[in-house]
Amino acid sequence: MIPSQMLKGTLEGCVLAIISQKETYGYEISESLSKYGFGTIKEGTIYPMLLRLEKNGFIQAIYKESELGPKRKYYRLTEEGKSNLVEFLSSYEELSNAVNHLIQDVKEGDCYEEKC
Amino acid sequence: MKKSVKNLMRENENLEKEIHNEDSIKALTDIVVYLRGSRISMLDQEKVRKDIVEMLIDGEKRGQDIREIIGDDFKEFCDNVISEIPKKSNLQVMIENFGDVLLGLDMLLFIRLIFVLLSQITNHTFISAFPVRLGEMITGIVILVTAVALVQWICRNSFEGDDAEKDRKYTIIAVFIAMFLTGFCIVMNLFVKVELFMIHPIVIIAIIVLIAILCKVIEYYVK
Repeated sequence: MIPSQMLKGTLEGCVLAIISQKETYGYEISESLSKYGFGTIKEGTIYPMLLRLEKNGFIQAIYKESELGPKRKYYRLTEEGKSNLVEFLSSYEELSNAVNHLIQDVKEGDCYEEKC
Repeated sequence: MKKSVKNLMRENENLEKEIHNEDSIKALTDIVVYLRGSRISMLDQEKVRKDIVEMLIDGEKRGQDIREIIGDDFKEFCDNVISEIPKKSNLQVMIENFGDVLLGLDMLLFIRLIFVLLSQITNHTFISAFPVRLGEMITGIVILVTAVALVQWICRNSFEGDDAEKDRKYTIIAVFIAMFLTGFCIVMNLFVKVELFMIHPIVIIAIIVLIAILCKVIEYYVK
């Protein structure tokens, strides 16, 4: 399981990435995150994030018919959201490269797995 | 309150009937009470309520209860939600609180008017000026302050303790407050009889109507 502190900074971008794939709703987002290996992230965690993304103009909510019950709130990316996602992906790639380099060096070093 | 808010409120009340899980219903009540005490507008409160109710209905159909949908910490969930919604300005909060106090005052004046008219009818002095005493004024202020403080306390503590504990706590507090206010009213009305001014029932009726109009204006334009 990914520690919540580690998830905090990236989850919002990941939610944006999932919404970029197709118009989707809270529960489906949490299911997608779980399928991608993020573990169980409840709708209650995602909902405030969706409110923030909506407030910042990155996503837009629309109501669509649902088979289960009342009309369901779907989210789609706005133009602003698309540029924010591109920005997030590039920042994350940069961070990921840096961390990967560091990890590689640490693993190759003398002190990895109690070699010291 | 604007018509759009009233409609949304009614829509939410109807939607809530589709929730059957007892725990979800109780938790939802606590969430709504907590939102009522927050600094977000009535419209935003109802929008959030709608989203949560829809989440719960959908979840229930999948066989999930509120804890599986929202998590175990309802207060943290509400705080996270509230932090993402624009807050009302200090002025707006002040005007709203003023409106609530006015509404309470209007009710107290109405009750006082009924008692005055009844006593005047029994004394055959129907519709004549009557004295307003210091004791009555102080009692009225204490009742209003207690009512406002009590509502705010209930909203802030909606998640404290389980239901049985909450029921017990609220019953004790209600009995204590009722006893205190009754005792206070009796003492004030018996011993603080200083007459402040004379007022005619017609004037009281006019004040009641004016306050009611003012409350409606505040409710429509501010809430």
